Amino acid sequence: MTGQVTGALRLAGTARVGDLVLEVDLTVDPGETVALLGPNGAGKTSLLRVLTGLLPLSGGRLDLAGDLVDQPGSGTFVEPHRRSVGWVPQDRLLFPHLTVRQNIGFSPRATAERVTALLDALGIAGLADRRPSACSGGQAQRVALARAVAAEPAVLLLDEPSTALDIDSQHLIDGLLADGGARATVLVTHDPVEAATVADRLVILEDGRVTHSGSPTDVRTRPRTRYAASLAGLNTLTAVADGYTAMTVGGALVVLGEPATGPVHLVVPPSAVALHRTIPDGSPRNVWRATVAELQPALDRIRVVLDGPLPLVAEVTPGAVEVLELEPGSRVWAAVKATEITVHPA
Amino acid sequence: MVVAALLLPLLACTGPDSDSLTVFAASSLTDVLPALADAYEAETGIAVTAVYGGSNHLTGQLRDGAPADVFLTADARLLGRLETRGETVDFATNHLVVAVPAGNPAAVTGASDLARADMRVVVCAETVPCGAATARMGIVIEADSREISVRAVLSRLALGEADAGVVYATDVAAEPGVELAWPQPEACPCVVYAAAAITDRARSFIGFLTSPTAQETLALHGFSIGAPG
Amino acid sequence: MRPPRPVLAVATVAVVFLTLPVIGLAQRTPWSSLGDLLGRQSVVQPLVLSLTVSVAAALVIVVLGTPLAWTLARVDIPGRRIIRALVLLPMVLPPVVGGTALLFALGRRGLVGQWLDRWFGLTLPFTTAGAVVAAVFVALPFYVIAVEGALESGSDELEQMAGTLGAGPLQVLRRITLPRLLPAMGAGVALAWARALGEFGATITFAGNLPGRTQTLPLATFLALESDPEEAIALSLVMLTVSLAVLIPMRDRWLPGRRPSR
Repeated sequence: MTGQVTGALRLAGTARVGDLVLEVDLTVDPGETVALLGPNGAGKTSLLRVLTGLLPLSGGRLDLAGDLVDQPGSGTFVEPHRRSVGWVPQDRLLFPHLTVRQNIGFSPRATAERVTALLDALGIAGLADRRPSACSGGQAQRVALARAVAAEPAVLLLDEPSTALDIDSQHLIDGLLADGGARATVLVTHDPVEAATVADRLVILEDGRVTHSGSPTDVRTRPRTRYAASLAGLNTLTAVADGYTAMTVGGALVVLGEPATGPVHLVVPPSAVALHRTIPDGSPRNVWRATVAELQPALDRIRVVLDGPLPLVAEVTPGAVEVLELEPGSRVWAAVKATEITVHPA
Repeated sequence: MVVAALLLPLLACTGPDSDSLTVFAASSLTDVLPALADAYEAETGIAVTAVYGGSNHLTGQLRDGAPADVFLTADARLLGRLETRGETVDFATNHLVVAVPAGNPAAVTGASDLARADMRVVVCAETVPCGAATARMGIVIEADSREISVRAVLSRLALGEADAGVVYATDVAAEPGVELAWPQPEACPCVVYAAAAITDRARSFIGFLTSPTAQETLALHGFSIGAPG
Repeated sequence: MRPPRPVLAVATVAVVFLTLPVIGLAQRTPWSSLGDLLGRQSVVQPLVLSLTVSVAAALVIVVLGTPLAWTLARVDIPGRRIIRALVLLPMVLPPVVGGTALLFALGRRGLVGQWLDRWFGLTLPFTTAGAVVAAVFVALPFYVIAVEGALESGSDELEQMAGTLGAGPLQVLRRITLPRLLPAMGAGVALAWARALGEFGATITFAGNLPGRTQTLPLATFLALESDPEEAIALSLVMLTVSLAVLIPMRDRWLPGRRPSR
């Protein structure tokens, strides 16, 4: 056995759920947040269940907070209730017969002070004596999160936390996640915007295996599979909106198809970025000067990575590359219709 | 309503059957009636279907219109509550005895044992004929259970659940699991069995009960025949 | 939704069918002398005994039945289907047969009963404890069915959740499983208690019939039917009233679908 284990979470093992075989190598460092992305049925939720101990490994090993917790080869298996893992499942699983306060304080490791602090931090102190059935979706999500972190787990597991979440809840939850200290977080999501904004690292899981692990930029610019390309290839711009216009952090003015106010994420599909050698006329109102930084073949398309006021990726056909005579260093005009831009509150 | 209309005729009407008689009989006749029925069928070709129960219970059923042709009761007074056809006939008598499980495990030797608190004694409930007769016996009994029929008392004794019980002399003769507690004379209070016809078809059966064949069979099973002593 | 007429019609027939006997009973009730009848020792004594026996039986049933239901629903034991069928047997067995079977098992000469008698001087027939045993025997399956059903349908995801929060198996049982099971347990107890209250056949065959010791309401009613029908009707009314007084509030409190929704 190797004596030295680094990371809050270190998994190199296999597990079976029905027809699916999970074969995963994953390390998460203390304080790191990893977003787990993948198509439906890829095994994301099952992977979380392996970490909680609800799904035992069939081979390999799992270490949590430096302790070996699952290794079928040596007969080691630490029961879920002896692991330092906080779990927020997709359907939350709040205890319907307990009040909000009792839910959050359920763990024997949660102190009363900690519970009160969480109730305040998440803005649900007013619900403390209500039952979960009296909570809205966003409130229930906050309760579920508070319950999971009340025990101060070394690893926090979140399964689709933003599903049907209101903006207030999203802000409060993001705040709590950002304030995790040494806690490692694994976040299952289907929302690339959430992944890119919250996570330090993206892990793509497909058919039970990790197909890509890297920074959001790395995954976005160098997708290795069709799924990653379709998902992580989206351009995400951080900006401050004021009505029908928004100013990006890079200082570019973007015209929006819908009004918004305050900090936003703008999402632009690469296929919506049109490239021109000369300034285009007609309907596009968002036109920027850019320099081609890199050309990447992506299956039957070419991904064009642009430098300029806006770090965009465009996706064009090989024919267009030829016609436009694109090569690294080429000067182009990038145009995007306002209606192609989706606005997410940040 | 439709379902009920369809079901009711099936349930309620079994229809008269000229080849058989239904006899409601006191449960103490359970052992002898099959032999009587066989003899009657051999003589007349008419089969007998027997239904046994406590005499009171059967009376209640007959009053509610239960389809019987003959009623053989251990308590002739019950017939006053029923509409019968023709003469009522007293055809046998029986008397009560104190019985114990075979081998007499609790060593019951006399009537005084029946008042002992540690003794498990079962008798018939006072509402059934054997219980009413037991009450007239004039012995003090600390009963642990008052059963709803004499067969239930007999079964308690045969299973060894009770140490002693009051049953009919005929029951002791028929059930190998029980024996007389001590030699007891054929003393009354007696139970007189009365037969009554509920339907006209049943009259020949009533007559048969006092025939030499039937009386012989009854005597063979331990019943006393002729006038009660 | 507008209720379909044929359904309503059949439902009405069913209700009439169920209430008609009660109306018959009420119609034969000697209301003027009822007060006198109800004060009789021969009515009060069986009532007190029936309540004692049925409540004691309900307690025993909860203690025995809850672990049994949990095991049947959650533990993968070999031959579980056979065990379940055996557990439900008293529901289909004629009670008189059940009482006789109890005699063979727990009677003074029974399989186990002879040793109870020999070693501890303990005999069940002809005792109030025997009446409780008979009631438990016939009523236990009603409770087990209700609770087992709830354990199966309520997935154990909440229990898993509690586990990941650091609660050990016993804590999960105490803080999640049992509290969530309370409605089903309440419904099960109500059913089993009602069955125990009305128990006749197994009681009279196993425990016997002695006023004040084993003569419960149904036994007293049956015997009174032959000697004093008016008293039998009074006894029946007492049983009916007691059951309704317990079952109606219980149904509102415990049975699913009857709880106030927010």
